[in-house]
Amino acid sequence: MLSGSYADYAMPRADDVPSFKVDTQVTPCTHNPLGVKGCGEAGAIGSPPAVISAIVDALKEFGVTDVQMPATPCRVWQTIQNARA
Amino acid sequence: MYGFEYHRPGSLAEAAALLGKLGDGKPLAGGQTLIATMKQRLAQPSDLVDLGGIAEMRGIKVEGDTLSIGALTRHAEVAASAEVKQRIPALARLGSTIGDRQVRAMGTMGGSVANNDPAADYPAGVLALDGTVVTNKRRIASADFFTGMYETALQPGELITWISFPVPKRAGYAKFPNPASRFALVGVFVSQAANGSVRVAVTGAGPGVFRVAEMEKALAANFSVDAIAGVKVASDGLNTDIHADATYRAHLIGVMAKRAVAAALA
Ligand SMILES: Cc1cc2nc3c(=O)[nH]c(=O)nc-3n(C[C@H](O)[C@H](O)[C@H](O)COP(=O)(O)OP(=O)(O)OC[C@H]3O[C@@H](n4cnc5c(N)ncnc54)[C@H](O)[C@@H]3O)c2cc1C
Repeated sequence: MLSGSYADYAMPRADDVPSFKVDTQVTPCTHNPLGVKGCGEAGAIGSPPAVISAIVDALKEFGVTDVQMPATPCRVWQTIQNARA
Repeated sequence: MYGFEYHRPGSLAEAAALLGKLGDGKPLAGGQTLIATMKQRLAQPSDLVDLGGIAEMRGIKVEGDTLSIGALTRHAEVAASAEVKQRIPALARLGSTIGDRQVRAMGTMGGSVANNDPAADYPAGVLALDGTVVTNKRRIASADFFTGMYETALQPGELITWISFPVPKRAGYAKFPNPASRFALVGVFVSQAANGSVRVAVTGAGPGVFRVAEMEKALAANFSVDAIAGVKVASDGLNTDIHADATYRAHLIGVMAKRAVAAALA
């Protein structure tokens, strides 16, 4: 962990995201009498690879095949420079 | 946070007298920097002299070709001011890019300029616009005011009262915000004075705000984006930190300068 506070660690804030409505879709589990499902740690398994793949796709015209996380603006720029060199 | 005494003088003279007499007193404006440093125990003033009750340090005035802004004027007030938008729209825009809504509602121009954070926005505006920092003791040209990282020409106890700007022919500000803090990773303010001379001031990139002579010369001869397209800024002495290295910051100076010129011409 290199960041000292949230002044160094970018967190999406209220004014970074569009307004949205929250709704629930109820689909009870059929394998137990309570209908409950485990959802611990569901967090961010799919989104980082999806975002990194999107960045790599956007940079394919420069010959970029991989971008290391975190994809800071500086990191993305350096990746383009290295691919061009 | 350590303990301190709180004072709220009603006039500039009273504030200056208090600061002169209190051993380790500090002026408090919007508190957006000072309170955070006190919470982190990086500052421990014995006394805080709250400037908030001093009416003579607040407001926006136009006299001839000079726009003057009181030290206690909030970033949100600068951003929304019809006088600022009409005479120096780039300065109003700069105010609107500072931090977030809460910071703009509290932070003041005087506090920001006195603090001289190497990534703060106003120092670039004050330097590029050839502003004058007016204190309770004297008038300081912007070229002499910003002396280093968090360093200014202010003496202990000296208070910024107003900052005045000659209205330029045109000006533009472009900022690449740090996505976490929203301070400038690099910000460039470009201004052409009424007499045609040009100043280009850069914040966020180095240990303090600085000018780029080569761009100024090129723009004075031909105020256009193309005029500076070939100017490369060296990365020597620029900042490297977890957000960006010096080479990227040098690259951003070129990009932001072009955007600032385009904004000035828009
Ligand atoms: C989350 C966050 C994001 C921010 N983002 C940005 C940004 O994007 N760009 C940017 O430029 N800034 C940013 N800031 C800083 C902000 O602009 C502050 O308002 C500014 O640095 C200090 O102004 P203040 O009025 O709050 O001063 P204070 O915190 O009250 O004081 C700062 C210092 O200046 C001294 N001082 C205050 N007024 C005077 C005066 N009139 N005369 C002499 N000395 C004085 C104080 O003693 C203290 O040392 C951010 C702050 C936060 C908390």
